[in-house]
Amino acid sequence: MKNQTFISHSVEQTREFAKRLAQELYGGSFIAFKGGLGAGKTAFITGLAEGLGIRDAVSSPTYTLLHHYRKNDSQHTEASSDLYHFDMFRISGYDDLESTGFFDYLSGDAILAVEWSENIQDFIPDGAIIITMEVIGENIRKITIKRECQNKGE
Amino acid sequence: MKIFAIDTTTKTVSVAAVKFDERDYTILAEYNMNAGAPHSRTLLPAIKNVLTSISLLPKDLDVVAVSNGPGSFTGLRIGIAAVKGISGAAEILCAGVSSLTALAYNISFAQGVICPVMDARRNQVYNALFTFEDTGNGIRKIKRHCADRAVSIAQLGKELEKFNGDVNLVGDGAELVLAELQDVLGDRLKLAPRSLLSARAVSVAQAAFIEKCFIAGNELIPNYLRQPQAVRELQESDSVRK
Ligand SMILES: Nc1ncnc2c1ncn2[C@@H]1O[C@H](COP(=O)(O)OP(=O)(O)O)[C@@H](O)[C@H]1O
Ligand SMILES: [Mg+2]
Repeated sequence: MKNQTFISHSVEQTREFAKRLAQELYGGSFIAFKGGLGAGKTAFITGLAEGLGIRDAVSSPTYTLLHHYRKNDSQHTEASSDLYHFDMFRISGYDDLESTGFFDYLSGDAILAVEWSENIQDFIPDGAIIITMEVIGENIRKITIKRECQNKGE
Repeated sequence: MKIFAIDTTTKTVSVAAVKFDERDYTILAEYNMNAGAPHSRTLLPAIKNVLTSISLLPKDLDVVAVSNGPGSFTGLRIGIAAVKGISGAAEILCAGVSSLTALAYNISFAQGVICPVMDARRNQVYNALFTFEDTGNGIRKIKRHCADRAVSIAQLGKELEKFNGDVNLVGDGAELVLAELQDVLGDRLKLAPRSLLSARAVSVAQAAFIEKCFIAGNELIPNYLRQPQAVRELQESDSVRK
């Protein structure tokens, strides 16, 4: 995946863009989101889930820390991968992060999408896709996609 | 007494039904799996398979036992939730045993110190130290030498230097510790036989039977050793209120 910048003019455009990006993901992909409240992280992940073929409703796991959207349940056709959706808004430091079970999910074959990844900066794995969302105007967002190779241990 | 036991504290899923008499026990069925699939998907089918393969219903069991930590946070939650569910629905007692005690039972035949080690990341292991002593009539009695803890591998090496005799490593951190401490402890370090290296529910059942720590499902709690973020936040907000 190459680095790119996209200017979105509506929440629908953000979702469509995310839906296309979903086609480039595979089991084990790690997507770290940066950007403050209302930047559109959850909107983006809603598009990702849709692109993966997941039909569950997506919302920020601000209090539950983690939402798990399954690739198949009894009603739906099979999606390409499970999606784990973390929200690190309330997390600071290694012990906090470990207690969420975060490290147990890293080695699996699901896709991980992480909101507020600023809070777990030191623990973002090598090869993660970093998506930064900036508010430019009421309905305008600047979306920057970077694949980062960081070497900070876990 | 029939004890049904579960261990999900590591990447292994282990489920067993064990029948105990006063002096002996029989493994009725055992299921061990280590193929990388998440416990959330594998545990319940494994439980169902073990019970149906020996035509038992949950209500036919006397106790349902679980390794309640230390170990993977996610694993503990899944295992304990399952045991609470079974114990509540079938109205039977449950038991929570230390995952480290259970690992020690894997190699109760070993001479010297038994040193269960579970990978706790960042060069730490969950560990406690045990020995087994002959009490005559063929029975070996477990003796614990310290509380369950998270300890750096280097610190563990220093402590083990003080013991005499063999140090028997068991658990998913055993090979890591063997590699790290070979310089310090040399051939006193022994790795458990590979077939007994991982967590086994049969050992959980054994520990529960010996400890007789039978409780109601709602009393069962995980022993994380490290405090989860939610609990810490609650305590912080409590202390602010005071
Ligand atoms: N171009 C856009 N892309 C994404 N969201 C937008 C855009 N324009 C307006 N919005 C609005 O911004 C809000 C983003 O909310 P949300 O996705 O929950 O943000 P976050 O998860 O980053 O806090 C929504 O109310 C959405 O309708
Ligand atoms: Mg959000």
